[in-house]
Amino acid sequence: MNQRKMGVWARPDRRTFLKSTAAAGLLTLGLPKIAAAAPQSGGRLVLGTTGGGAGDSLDPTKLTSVGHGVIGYTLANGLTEIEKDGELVGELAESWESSDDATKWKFNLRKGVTFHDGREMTSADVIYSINLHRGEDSASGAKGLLTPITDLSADGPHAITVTLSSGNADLPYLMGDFHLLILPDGTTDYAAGMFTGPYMLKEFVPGEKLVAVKNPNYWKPDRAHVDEVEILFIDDTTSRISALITGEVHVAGRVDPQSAALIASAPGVGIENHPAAGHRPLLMQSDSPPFDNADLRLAVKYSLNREEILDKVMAGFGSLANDHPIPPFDPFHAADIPQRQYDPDKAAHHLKKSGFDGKLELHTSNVTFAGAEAMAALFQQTAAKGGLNVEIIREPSDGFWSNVWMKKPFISGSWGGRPTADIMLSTAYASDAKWNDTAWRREAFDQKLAMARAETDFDKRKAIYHDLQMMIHEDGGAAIPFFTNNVDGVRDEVQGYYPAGSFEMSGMRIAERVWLTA
Amino acid sequence: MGGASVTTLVLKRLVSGLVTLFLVSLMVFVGTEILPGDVAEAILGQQATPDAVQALRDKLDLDRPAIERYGLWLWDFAHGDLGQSLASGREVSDLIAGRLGNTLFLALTAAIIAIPVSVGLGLLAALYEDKLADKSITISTLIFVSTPDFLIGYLLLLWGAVTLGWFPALSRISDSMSFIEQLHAIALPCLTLALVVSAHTMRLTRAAILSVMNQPYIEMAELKGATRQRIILYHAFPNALAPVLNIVMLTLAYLIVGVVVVEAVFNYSGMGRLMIDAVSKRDMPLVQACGLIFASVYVALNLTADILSLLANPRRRRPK
Repeated sequence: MNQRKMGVWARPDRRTFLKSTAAAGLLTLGLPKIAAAAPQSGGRLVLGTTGGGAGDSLDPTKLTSVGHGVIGYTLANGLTEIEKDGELVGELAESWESSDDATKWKFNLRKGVTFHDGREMTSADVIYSINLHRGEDSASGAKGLLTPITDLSADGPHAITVTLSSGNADLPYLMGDFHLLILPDGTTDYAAGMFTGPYMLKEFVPGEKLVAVKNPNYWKPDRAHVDEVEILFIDDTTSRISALITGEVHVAGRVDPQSAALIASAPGVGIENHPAAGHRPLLMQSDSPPFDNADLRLAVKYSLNREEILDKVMAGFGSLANDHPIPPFDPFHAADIPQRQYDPDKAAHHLKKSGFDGKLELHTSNVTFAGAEAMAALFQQTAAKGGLNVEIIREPSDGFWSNVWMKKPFISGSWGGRPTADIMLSTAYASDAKWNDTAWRREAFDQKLAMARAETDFDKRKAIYHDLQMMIHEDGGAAIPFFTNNVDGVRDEVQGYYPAGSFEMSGMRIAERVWLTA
Repeated sequence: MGGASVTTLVLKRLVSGLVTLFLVSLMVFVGTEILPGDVAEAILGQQATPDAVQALRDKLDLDRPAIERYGLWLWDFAHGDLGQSLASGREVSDLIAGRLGNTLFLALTAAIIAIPVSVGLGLLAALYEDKLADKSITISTLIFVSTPDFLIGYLLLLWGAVTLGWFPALSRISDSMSFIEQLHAIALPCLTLALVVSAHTMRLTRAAILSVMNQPYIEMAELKGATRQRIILYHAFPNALAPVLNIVMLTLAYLIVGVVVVEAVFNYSGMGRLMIDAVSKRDMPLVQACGLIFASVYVALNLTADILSLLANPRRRRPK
C-alpha cells in the first residue's frame, strides 16, 4: 500500500491531478465547469526562497543560489529562456543562427525593449553584460561556461555575433544561464537594479527580502500579472513551510520530502513535484587503488538498492537513475540502456573477479544532501549481502567540499542539475574537467564528447550521447541511485505555475509566470 | 571614600574589559582561521570554478599571511573603522546597524517580561519552600530549562501561528509598523526567549534567597518572631540582591547573545542570523565585529552588575 502511495507521489503532476479530480467532482454536482482560468491581474505575491546572505548583491556575477536566480528573473531577462518541457525560446534574443560547425553564432536581438528607465536595449548593452562574466579576474559563476568564447561583437544595434574556439551546438542554451542577465552598458552601480525585466526594484535588503513592483512597460504581453512581488529569504525549512501554511508566503521553494506529505494534507496548499536532474552519487576515484579495478566499481553499482533508497531516503520524491548523469526527461537520455538492478549475486561475482577482499571506507556527510548518511547506511546493509564490506566514516560538514570531495577514494557526492547533457558531461566526466570527481579519464570518451558538442543534427547527436552514457554506465566511477525532484509548496490561490528546466520555482521565473486568484 | 573605591573598581573593570575584548578578537580570528574551508569557496558556492575561486582569493588578499591580515584589521579597528565585509564589500557598520537594533528590541522586550516574572516566581518559591507552590513552580521551570530553545520555538510556532493563527510565523518588523504591530510580530520569539531564560533566573533567584536564609541574622529575625514573608522581603531579599542582580544581568546578556537559534526559527532579522551567515562565509571582519559586540555586551552588563551590587550592599564597598 505504501508502495502504491509512493507511486502516486512520484507522479510529476500530482497537484494538477488533485485539481482535476476536484473539478470532476464539481461537474457531477451539475455546476458549470470553469473554463481554463485566464490570468488575473493584481495582488501581491510573496515567495519564500533559500540561499540568501547578508553579502548578497544585485551584481549578476555574484549570483550563486536559486534564491538569487529568482531575484534575477524577477528584475531581469536573459537572451534565451527555458520554457515548458525544457523547450528553449528566445527572450531578449529573438532568433539565432550558427555556422555549420557551430563555431560562429549570430543572435538577433528583440527591438523596442526598454530598460526600467526607458532607455532602449541594444547590442552594446548585451555585449557589456556578457563581458562582465568573462576575462581573467571574473569571479562569476558563469565564467566557465563562457571560456570557449573567443570573440563577442556587435552586428549593428540589434544583433551580436559570437565566435567560439570549438563548435558548440548548445550555445543558445548557455546564453539562458541565470547569471547572464542583461543590464545597461557601463553599469557599475548594481544596487539600482536596472534591467529590462517584469518587475522594477523597490527595496532590497540583502539576505532578507526584495520587493519589486510591476513594470508598466514590460515587453512581454502575457507575463507579470501581479502588482507587487516580495521575495523572502527563509533558510530554515520548518519556518518556510510554516509560513506557507499560515499564508504568509504564497510559494515556499525547496520543500523536503518528509514535509511534502504534510503540506499536501494541509488545507489551502499543495505541492508542485517535478523531475529534476540533480543526483546524489557514490563517487569512486577510478585512477587509483582500489577503484582502478572496473570489477570493483561494478560490484559497488550492483550493491545499491535504488528503489529502497528512493523510497526510504527521498520518500519517493525522485526518479531512478542508471549510473549515468543524464536524467530521463533530457532529450538525449539513453532510454534503452537496461536499468541496473540491485543484485547481490552479480555484486559478489564482480567482487570476486576484482580480487578485492578488504574493507571499503565510505566518507559521507549530510552536507551533500539531507539523506546522505541514511543512504550510506542502506548501502552498507545491501552491500554486505554481496560480501562487500563497507565502513561508514562521517565527515564534518564544514570543509567537506575542500577536504574530502575529490580527495578521498570513496565518498557521497552531490550534483545539481545542469541545463544540457554537454555541460553535465564536460563538467564532471571529461578527462580535463576540473570537477572530474571520479578521476575517470578515457580518451575515446573525450573525442566523442567534442564530436557531440559540435554536431548540429539532432539524431546523430543523440546517437553519440547514447554511447557516452553507456560508457559511464558500464565503466564510470559514479554509482548513481536516483535523480531528485524539485518540490515547491504552493498555495491554492497561485495559478499558472508550470515546471521549466532544471530549477525549482518554475525555472526560477515564477514571479512573471503565476497570478493570484482573489 | 566609598565613591573612590567605586571609581577605582570601574576603572579596573574597564581595563580588564578591554583586555578581554582584545583576547576575544584574537580568539575569534584564530577560530575563523582554523575552520576548514575558504572564504572564496564559501562565497562562490560549491559549484564555482577553480579559476573564479582563485580570482576572488586574489581580490580579497587571502593569500597574505594570517598574522598580517589580523594586524591590518586590528589597526583599522583601533581607528574606529570596522572594515568591509569580505562577502559583500559593504561597510560592516552598515550591515550591523539595523540588525543590532532588532536584536536589542527583541531581547529587551523578552527581558521586560521575563525578569520581573521570574524574580517574582523565585521569591514565591523561596517563600513557600517545599510547599505545593514551590514544587509546581520548580517542576514547570525545570521542564523549560531542559527543553532546547529551538524545540520550544517550534512548539510555539505550531501552536501560535499554525494552529491558532494568532501570530505570524515569520517575525518581520519594519519601521513602517506601529509599536503594537511590532510587538505582535515578535510575540512568538519573545515568548520563546522569556520561557527559556525565566527558568534559569527563577531557579537562581530561589537558590540565592534560600542560601541567605541559612545566615545567623535570619535565625535572629525568626527568633524575634518576624513572619516568614517579612523575613524574606525585608531581611533576605536585600542581602540576596547582589547575586540576583548578577543573575539578571547574565540573563540580559544571554538574551542578547543567545538569540541566534530563535532568530533562525522565526526568520527574525537580527545579529544572530548575520553572525551565522558571516561564519559560514568565513567573513572575518563581520564575524569579528559581531563577536566583539557580543563580548562588549557581556563585559558591560557584568560591570553594571558589579556596580549595582556595590550600591545595593554597602558592606561590599569596605575591603575585608
